[in-house]
Amino acid sequence: MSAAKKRIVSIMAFALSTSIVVAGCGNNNAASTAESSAKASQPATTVESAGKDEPSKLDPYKITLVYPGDAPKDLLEVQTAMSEYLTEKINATIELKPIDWGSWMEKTNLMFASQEKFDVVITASTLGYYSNVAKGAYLPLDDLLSQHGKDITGVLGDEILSGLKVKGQIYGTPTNKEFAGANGFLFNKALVDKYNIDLNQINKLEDLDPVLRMIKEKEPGITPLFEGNLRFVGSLVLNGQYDGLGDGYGVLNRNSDSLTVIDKTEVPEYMEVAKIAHKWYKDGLVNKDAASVKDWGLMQAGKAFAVQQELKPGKDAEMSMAWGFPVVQKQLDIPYTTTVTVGGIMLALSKTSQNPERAMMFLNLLYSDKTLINMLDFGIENKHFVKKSDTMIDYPEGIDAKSVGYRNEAWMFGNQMNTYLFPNEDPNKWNAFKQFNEEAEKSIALGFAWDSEPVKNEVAALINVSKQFEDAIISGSVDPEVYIPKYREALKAAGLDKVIAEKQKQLDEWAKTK
Amino acid sequence: MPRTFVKHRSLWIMVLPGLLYLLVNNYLPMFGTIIAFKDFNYSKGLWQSSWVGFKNFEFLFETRDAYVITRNTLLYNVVFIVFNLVLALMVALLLNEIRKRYLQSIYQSIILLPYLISFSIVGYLVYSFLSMEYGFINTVVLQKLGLPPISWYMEAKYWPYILVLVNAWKYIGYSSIIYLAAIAGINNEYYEAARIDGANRLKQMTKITLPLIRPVIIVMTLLLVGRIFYADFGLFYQVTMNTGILLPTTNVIDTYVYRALIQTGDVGMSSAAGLFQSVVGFILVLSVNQLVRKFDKENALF
Amino acid sequence: MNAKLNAVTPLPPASHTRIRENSLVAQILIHCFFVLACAACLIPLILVAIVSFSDEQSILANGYSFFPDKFSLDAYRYLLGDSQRLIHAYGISILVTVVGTLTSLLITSLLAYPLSRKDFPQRNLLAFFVFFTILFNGGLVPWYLVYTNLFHIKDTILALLVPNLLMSGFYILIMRTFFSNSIPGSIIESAQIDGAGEWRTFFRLVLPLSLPVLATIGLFTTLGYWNDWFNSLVFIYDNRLISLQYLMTKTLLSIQFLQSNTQNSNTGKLLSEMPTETVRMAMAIIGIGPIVMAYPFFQKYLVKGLTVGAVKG
Repeated sequence: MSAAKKRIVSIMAFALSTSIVVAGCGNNNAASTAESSAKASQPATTVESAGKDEPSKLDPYKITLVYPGDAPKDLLEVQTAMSEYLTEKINATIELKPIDWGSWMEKTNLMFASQEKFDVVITASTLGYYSNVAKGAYLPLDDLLSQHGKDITGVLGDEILSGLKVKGQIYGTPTNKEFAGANGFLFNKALVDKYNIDLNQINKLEDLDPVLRMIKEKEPGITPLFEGNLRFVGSLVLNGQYDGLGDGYGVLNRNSDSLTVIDKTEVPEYMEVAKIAHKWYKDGLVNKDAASVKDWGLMQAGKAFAVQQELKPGKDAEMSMAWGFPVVQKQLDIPYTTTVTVGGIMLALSKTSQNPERAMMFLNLLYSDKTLINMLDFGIENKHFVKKSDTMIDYPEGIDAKSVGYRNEAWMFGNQMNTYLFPNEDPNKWNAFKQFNEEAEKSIALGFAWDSEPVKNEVAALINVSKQFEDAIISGSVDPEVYIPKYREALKAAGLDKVIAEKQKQLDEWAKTK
Repeated sequence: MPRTFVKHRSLWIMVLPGLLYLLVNNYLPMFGTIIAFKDFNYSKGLWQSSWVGFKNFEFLFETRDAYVITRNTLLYNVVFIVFNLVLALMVALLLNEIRKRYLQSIYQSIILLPYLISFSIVGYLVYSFLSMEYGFINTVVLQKLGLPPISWYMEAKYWPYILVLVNAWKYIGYSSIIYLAAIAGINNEYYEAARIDGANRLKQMTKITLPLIRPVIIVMTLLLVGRIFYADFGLFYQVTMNTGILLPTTNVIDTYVYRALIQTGDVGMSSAAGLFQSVVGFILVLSVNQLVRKFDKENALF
Repeated sequence: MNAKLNAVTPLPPASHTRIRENSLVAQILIHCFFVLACAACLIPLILVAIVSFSDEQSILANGYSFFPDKFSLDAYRYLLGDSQRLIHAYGISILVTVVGTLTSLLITSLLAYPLSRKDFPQRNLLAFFVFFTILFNGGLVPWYLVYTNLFHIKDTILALLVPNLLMSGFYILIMRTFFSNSIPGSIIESAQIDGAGEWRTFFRLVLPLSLPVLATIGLFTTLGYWNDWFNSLVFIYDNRLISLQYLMTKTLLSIQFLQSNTQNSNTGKLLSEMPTETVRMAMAIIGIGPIVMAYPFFQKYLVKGLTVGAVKG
């Protein structure tokens, strides 16, 4: 009885809060405000009486899902099939609205700016999650999650979800996959086998030195270490050694337990790794154009032995498939979970959603309903894929990855661990992911959301400064003894101290409330 | 006023569609310039977002880079204007001297070709010439000359020359067409008169052609002066392969703003930058126009 | 007047006296200059073509080369694999370019002509009105709001025709200068004394005399329409309406975007699956083709053809 009462109260509070939100965004149209707040409260009462989301008692509603990707040939067919399924479940239909990666930022920014109406949208810490939250693009999700998103909380767990809080509210739900980042190298397997290289003996950067020199000596046509495409020797330290606290200007040292924001160039490791990189560069172990190469170049051509890479379980299999020859991976650090890695890819609700409850019900299904997520990821059974077992699928006869009429990126949506695997994938992939997540060290600042607004002028300058120096230093193209002091001086001139002070202040406040 | 309007009714009707278009495409959105003075919030929209004064402009001036990017933008543009003008005029005048029609057409078409190649492609072409590993200059030219290879993408000092050359290469064909069209518009009677007076080709060039296309030269230059604070993004970002170490000589206002805002997509700050570029260009062009009016009233912009 | 126009004969062929005026040495030097200039312009383009026909692996291993280890049609096979889409985009681009250029030339010249008339009192005011648009703009967002919220042109062919491309203050002012430069006021006056109205003067006298500038601005506008991908990027969601250049550009844009956002380990997979080196160049070739073919059409009018005297007959 009391539980039911509590529920009603919270539902009413929720209905109230949504109507405020709706009123807030549609304030130029009073009529539509009244209408949508009425709509908003309706499903709530239904829930109360039935105790469960009864589809037939919900008004029909079309959910628009905006995500990056190229529109495949059979998009509408899949959309229709999903709509049929969703009508059964939550009396909703769906519109799939893929936007090309290349125009994603412009188009979504313009959609937000023109207050276009849509419901669910992809976001990520690297796709403007924090700036969009600050600019009021997304709905806060806490109440919606507790009402209609129980399965999401169940699947992800509080720790992960609260890692995405901004000023006490969650605005996005991450895909359930790996939440940590690890760093290491990919090696050309043919050469590893040929010279019987024991990768287990390579546990730090120094261990790599003799191997690279041996390759240079014995394989004249091969570049021992390929750098480029933002993958440098020093990326290992940059990505693995620090919690970048958002933008990487002012960081936490992973090995220290204190919440003291520091300048990364002052950490001894930074100089050390740059020195190793520079030595390798001078000795010709690395391609000379490291700082300007923008593709996988020599590595993809099979003309290089190793490349630095962010890793997760099965990364080597993925890249072997993409490049057409086998590579193996060796991880050099323990996976590390930070606010940025947790927010790798998320789903958010747009503030212009006309029915946030239903959108949340849809999100909930993406985390709990196996049929729905696999339909979104792989299309229609027996047309775009055939089931080989409960967890395994393959393309139907006569169809391959290129000719299939529907495809999508499975890592962008909901509970990826509910999705099918292809025969060339590790059948144990999801367990490996789980293990990877469990092994990961969690940053002591996990959940801290950096708001750069107060120092945005300094950040703008810092981006340009680090662009000028960082690639050159961490790729080893320049002498770190000369350039790191220069870099540090330029960072200071651009206002790094002010940024660090602001970050420290915010971090301390966050630590207090935690 | 009404009388002149009636008198020029037809002329007014002629300008109407064009003016309407400019009104919609250019003037209507100008109300949006207020974004530059606002903290733009999606849920509040353009009008309800709060005012922040000149805060959005600060990032352009508060840094040490402000001097570098302003200097680079200005210097490059001045050099581009002068260098391209001289080259384009030369090409147009020389093309005009070619008596074989078909050769003239062929030359002209080929010189325009680079204009059709986008800067992202140009970037890769330049790279194929300058790359340390397999660039043509390093592996063939310098080697033949017995010189050591140069890591072009590590040395900022070479890039002012490279960029000026690439820019000229891409745009000379384009600008020379305008001058060629101007020359084509010159009344032949002038040349006939000059021939009767016994003027040779060089004299005709300097005494007839150049003075008669001067209005076009002035207008083209004035228009370019107006955009002197805008840099060609593709040239400075893609042709340099966005290589950081080259920034001291290749960072310009447009690339600086792009890098600074790509992650946050701050609409207010980007409008502020655009407005700043426009205002400076506007002041400059007004002054130059005043100067032109003083000496050559006929050919001033307005 | 039309009949007279048609009867106009082109310039008499270059006479002997003319050739003698320009010494042989000068002619040879001029030709040398252009041969060199053309080489500088052509060679990179040939490289683009050769790379587009090269094998991707040999590019990755050895860089661009005039003599690749291995030739391959893979890039074109990839692009033409979706040939229906490509042909459709070609169609859209050609339609938009032709319709857009004609409309643009008409309204641009209609605006430029009165601005060139010295007896038009408001010409300086209007010239300023035009000039102002070259320098100032409201920025992307307000411009987008005007076109989508006021005119609702999202996902229509108008979105490819109208925004920004239809008219440029730059071209208006150039055209105005040409008009006032090459059409003496006295001719217009005498035509009007003969009883020709403004419209007749414009269409029968001014335009025919201005073929070089019309061809120039027409060419630039054509290039502008043909090369445009931005309007598709901003306004078009419907895949059936995107232009050729956008179809090409979006692959490149996607690569660039993913490269600058590689913190996410998943995007690496997307990136490496995208064909890059050879396809990039094949796109350039496919995109340039039609323009190169259309070019002679404009060029015909770029050379001296008509003279004032001839038109007056």
